[in-house]
Amino acid sequence: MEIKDISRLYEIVEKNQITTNKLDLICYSLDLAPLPESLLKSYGMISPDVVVRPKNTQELSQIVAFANQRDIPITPRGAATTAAGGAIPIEGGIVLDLCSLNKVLEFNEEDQYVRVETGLEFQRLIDWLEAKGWQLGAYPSSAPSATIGGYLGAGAGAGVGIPKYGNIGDQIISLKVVLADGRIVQTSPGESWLFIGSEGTLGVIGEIALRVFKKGKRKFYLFGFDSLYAGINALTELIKLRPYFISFLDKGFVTFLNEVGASRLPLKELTVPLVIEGSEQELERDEKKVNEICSAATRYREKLAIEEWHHRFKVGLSFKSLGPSILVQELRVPLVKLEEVLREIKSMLAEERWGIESLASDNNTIVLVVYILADERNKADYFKKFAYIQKFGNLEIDYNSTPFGIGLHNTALMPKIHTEEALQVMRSLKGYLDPKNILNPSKTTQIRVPGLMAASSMKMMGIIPEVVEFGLESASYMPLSLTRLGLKMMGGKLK
Amino acid sequence: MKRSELVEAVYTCGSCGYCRFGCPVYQQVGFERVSVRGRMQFFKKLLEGKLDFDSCKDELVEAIYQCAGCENCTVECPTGIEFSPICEALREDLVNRGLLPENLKPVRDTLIEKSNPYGEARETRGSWIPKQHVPPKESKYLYFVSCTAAFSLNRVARSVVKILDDIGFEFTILGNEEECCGSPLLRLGEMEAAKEQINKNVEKFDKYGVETIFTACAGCYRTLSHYYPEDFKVLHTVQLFDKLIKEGKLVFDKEFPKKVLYFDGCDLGRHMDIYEEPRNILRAIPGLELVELDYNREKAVCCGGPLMGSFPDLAPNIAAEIVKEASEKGVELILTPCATCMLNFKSGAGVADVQIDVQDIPMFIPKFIKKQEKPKPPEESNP
Repeated sequence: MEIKDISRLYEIVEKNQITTNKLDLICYSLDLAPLPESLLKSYGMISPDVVVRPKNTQELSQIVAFANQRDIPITPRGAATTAAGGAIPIEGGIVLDLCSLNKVLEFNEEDQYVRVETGLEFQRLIDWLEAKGWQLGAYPSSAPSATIGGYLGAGAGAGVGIPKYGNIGDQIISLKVVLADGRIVQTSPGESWLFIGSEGTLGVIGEIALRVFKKGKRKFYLFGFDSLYAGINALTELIKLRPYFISFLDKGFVTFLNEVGASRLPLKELTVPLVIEGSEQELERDEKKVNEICSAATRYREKLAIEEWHHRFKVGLSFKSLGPSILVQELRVPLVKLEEVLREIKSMLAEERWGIESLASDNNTIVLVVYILADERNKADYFKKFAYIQKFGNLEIDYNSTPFGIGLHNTALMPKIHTEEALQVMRSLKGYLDPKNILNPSKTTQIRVPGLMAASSMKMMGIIPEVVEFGLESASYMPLSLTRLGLKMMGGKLK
Repeated sequence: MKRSELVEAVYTCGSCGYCRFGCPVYQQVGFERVSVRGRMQFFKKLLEGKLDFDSCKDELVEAIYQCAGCENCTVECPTGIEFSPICEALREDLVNRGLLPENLKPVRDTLIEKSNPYGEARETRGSWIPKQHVPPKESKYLYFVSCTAAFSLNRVARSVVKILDDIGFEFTILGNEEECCGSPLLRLGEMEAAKEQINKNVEKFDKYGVETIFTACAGCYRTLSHYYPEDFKVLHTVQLFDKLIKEGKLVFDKEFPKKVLYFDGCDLGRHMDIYEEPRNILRAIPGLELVELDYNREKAVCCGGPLMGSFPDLAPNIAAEIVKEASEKGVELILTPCATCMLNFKSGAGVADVQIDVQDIPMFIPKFIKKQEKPKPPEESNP
């Protein structure tokens, strides 16, 4: 970006809404994953030039229009709590920090919806609504941080509430979206799906009108299953009851929790927290069925079940000090394939310390969050573990599942997930809505892989980790032009 | 510096960003460099030699001092990272390199020279004290006055003394022999200078045979509890008053039919886990309606008070948000356990353009106390 472009931004927003502070630029170059710098460099990453926090959708639109006019890449960012690289501003330019758009704009009890700005954290909205006797139909397990717009942009497929109320995408009444040229459009429910899961590549979500539900009574359970088979059978049946929350923790996961003192649960093959919700009659009916389904399981005291519910946003990271790095892979698996996939993972990770937590998703799928303990300071070992991530990608495809978020790192999987025709449609859509390719470039449909040497060595991942490290390191010292040439050869985008 | 602790935290941080939810500074500034996860990201680069300290010295120093030390992030953090002690250690490191920010140097110098942040003469520290408490005498109980009550808010100190004198509670006051507790110097990272003040105070405690120390200042209370030898029992006046109420020695018989907010100052709340005693005291006042903020007790958002000196533009804006919420809830009076909160709320009310009264608990309660029929003779043992 040129200096005059940054000066122009200062005319659009106030001084305290912009930063070029060197430390900020470091923070806004990353998402949740502790990526080796060499890997980012080998992607040909350029540091962002500036971070802007718009105050309202109008300002957001002005910034996007300006960027479009001047061909400046824009990366919209919520809380950056995914690990797929969707929020990494790989081509530099402007990072749009949307956390500044965090107001509740309207609450309509009669028509049962709430209209909010895109950057509002789920936790704040949940607390606000529940104090009034209302609740959300779906929210992610990173609610204290995740923003409404970010969840929608990233695909919004798993979390609390979904087994009962379905995907949050179906609860959207309308979105206000800023298109690449700065126009603001308001979507109808069907049209909203165009932007859900598009990771900010087709437009920037500014406002969301979202259905809300009367908060019912809740009942909390926690079960332990001695066999995987029994556990999965029960899980499948319990999901049919459409609970408000259901998850499972495998033995490895509970071991981790116990090790750091975050719980003191017995080690069972599967531990299943469950929350049912509804009217008195509904609860009574479901309670009977729950007892039938779980008759052979160990039922823990309600106090423990409630604790589990209160810790639902924290469990996933609570044992991170054991790594102290954790490699996280999320897989969306059809319920019928669950047992097979779990066994496959077990054999794949035989040499590692790992644990699994699940989240219920829609359409009879379940999202597995696999945590592998690692130490990023031990590079050879870390790269070896990185190789699992790629294997997981293939695992998903073999079991007819989809990766949970494409972002940057999963773009190479796109041709495996979609047919060439479908990809062509997606690309034409991108070309039509964002002809100058300024909106979160190099993401989703635009396949981008690390530099040539790195990419070829990545194929050897798991075989000779040192080679990978060498490849990444050398790629990071390659002149940018060469890296970009590498990108072109690998099917990446060349500006 | 406890380098190992920083290293551990840097690699344990999962970048989930929960730390931002209740961070007063992040919620005001908005950029990631002031969030704990953001700091962990660039500290990691520093430790790994991928970021040159000198190339962003000013930015780093600012980021390390732009933390109120309120520990809200620790409550939210899934991995339990305690950033506040790390931040203090980093400040100590900066101080040792001569990098205390310029605007804080005069504060530091005053604290060391006068042993109070107000620049008042040491010889006037005890000039407010009623004559029956001069000079200091041997006593099991010591009222540790604090710089603020001694120099700036005498009313707080006079109230504490009057309440306790009226019920015949025996205690002593150090007067001019009291030093600053050390809290402000500790927060600046001036550990050595703070230790000197601490040692001088401890000498005096021993000299007068003190066993229990009570103070109305939340900052002193936290410092006396965590940074002093464990030989002394330390109480905050809210604990003392709560106990006296429970024992029937302190009775309120006048009404205050208004909505009151008790604000959980961090030094008393998150740092010391005291949440119920102050509320118990206020519930004992007839007619008083206690109002809670949406996020209270361990989730209370810090008022930003600790940043009044270092970031004077920032601190009142943080307080203004809380004042606005209180005002929307119909609160007419905010009560704090901490003079820093109180002063910052007053500025915050100005920023928010809201009419709201702010007081410290000892200042507020005397007018509701039931007059004793006749002064009780001093008792054998104090509570």
